[in-house]
Amino acid sequence: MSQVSPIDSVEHDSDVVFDNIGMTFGTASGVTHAVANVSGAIPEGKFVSVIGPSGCGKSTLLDMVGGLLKPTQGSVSINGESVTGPRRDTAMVFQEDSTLHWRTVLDNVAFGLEVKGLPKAERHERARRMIELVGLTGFEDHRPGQLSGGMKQRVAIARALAMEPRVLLMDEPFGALDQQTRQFIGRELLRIWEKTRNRVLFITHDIQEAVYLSDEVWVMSARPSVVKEVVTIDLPRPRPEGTHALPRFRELEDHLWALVKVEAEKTLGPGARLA
Amino acid sequence: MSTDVTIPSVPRITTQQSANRSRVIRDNVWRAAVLLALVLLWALLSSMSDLVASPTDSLNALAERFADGSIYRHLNATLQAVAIGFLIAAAIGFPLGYAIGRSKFLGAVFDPIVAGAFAIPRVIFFPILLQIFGVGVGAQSAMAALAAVFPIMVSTTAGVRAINPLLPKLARSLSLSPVQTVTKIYVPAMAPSLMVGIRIGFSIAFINVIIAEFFAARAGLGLLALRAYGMLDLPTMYGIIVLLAAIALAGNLALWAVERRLGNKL
Repeated sequence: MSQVSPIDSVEHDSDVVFDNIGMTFGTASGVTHAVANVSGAIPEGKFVSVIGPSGCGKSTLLDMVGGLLKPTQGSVSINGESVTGPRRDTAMVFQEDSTLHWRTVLDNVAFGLEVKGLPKAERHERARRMIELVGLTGFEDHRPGQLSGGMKQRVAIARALAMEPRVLLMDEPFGALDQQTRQFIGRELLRIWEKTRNRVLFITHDIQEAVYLSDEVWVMSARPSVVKEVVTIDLPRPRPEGTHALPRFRELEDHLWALVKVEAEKTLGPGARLA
Repeated sequence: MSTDVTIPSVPRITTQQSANRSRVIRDNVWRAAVLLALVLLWALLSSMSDLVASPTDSLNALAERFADGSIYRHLNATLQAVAIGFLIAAAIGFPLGYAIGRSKFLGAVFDPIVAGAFAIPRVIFFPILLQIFGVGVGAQSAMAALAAVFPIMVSTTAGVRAINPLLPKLARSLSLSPVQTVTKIYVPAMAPSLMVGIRIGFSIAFINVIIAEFFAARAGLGLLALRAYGMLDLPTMYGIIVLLAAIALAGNLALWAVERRLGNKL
């Protein structure tokens, strides 16, 4: 089992680095420590997934990298600069549908570029390339209302990729999809990613999905969450369809499941037993 | 492989379109039939009661007013008051409704107040408006504005609140400016409820101008109808009612058409 303890300070200028970040919320019932002391880095060209029990602050972590939330402790830095707000070199994909239903697929994908002020010809050209990449060629003039859930998520992914982000932030992007679509679009994502090789921070609670997609899986503990363990996924790439059946895949999956189970039982309270 | 790809086949679209077309024709035939039935009912009632002028007499009286040009002053006054009143209501109602919808604090403060004030018949304030603006288009416009601002505000607030919560988040993550957030996210996302606000606002403005003209006016279709009634000139009164209905219908149909086109795009 190739395990690495949470990285202390892998300072690399071009990386996405978490330096001892924490997040506390003031709530009606007092102060909630959502995230405590998370350190780590997403190295160039790596696909990192974060798993953990629900409510462990996975999405909070992602929002902090995206500049939507400011950590109450520590800092996130991208390319050596501290993140103080949303940046042009990060792009997000959300769990639920976030397409703009009044725009065509083409104008949805080009939306970020349009806001950025790119001329129409240029942004459409780039959007068309992204549409081709996510396999939606022929649907440029359709509106989201005419598409299935999986296709809408591909539009959202294309929109994020069109920004050519330094890091792609995905918050359970397939969480709202049915199982079949989910597996299919997971393979699609991997195929796309093999071509772009962006840094990806991928939040999920699906262990199989995490193993299949990632280079590293960070397992978060129950609140206040820390990165309990970083598990390196040493499965060779590209990962063809039979990857799920590899003994090594099973081993990694079992190991992750054991880690998550302990944390989930903590969250659910003493006496809770998961099969 | 293509579990989530559904491509509607071309023939299905065409049969659907022709089915739609024949449905539209059928609906329009029935609409005309209902309208005709109403006119027949009107004719029947006029033959039974002295209080109802016949359709032909009414339309003749109305045509006469147009022919001698005496109606234009009144028509202008009414339409002007509706337009000015509606524009003021829109200029206040849309931004205010938007602010109340977006801010939790403003929502908490204004929701009960707006709900309470909604029930007050706005016409109760007309005497005060008369004091402020004097008898004339100004007072009618103010009346229309006061009445129309509420439905516009309420539907805008509802529209803001119904927006997909991920869209503002998306706007932030893409670093949209506040102006871009409104023009590129909120307005298009809320277009249907904005149109409902406009349509209801127009109707309410129109209704209130006529009511206000009943109380005090220098000119206006409401005044003209009331005068005709006072002189027991029933054909003119009914003729003006027909004109009012035609204006309301034309306005609403135009706005409906815009709404539907927007709806088709969505």
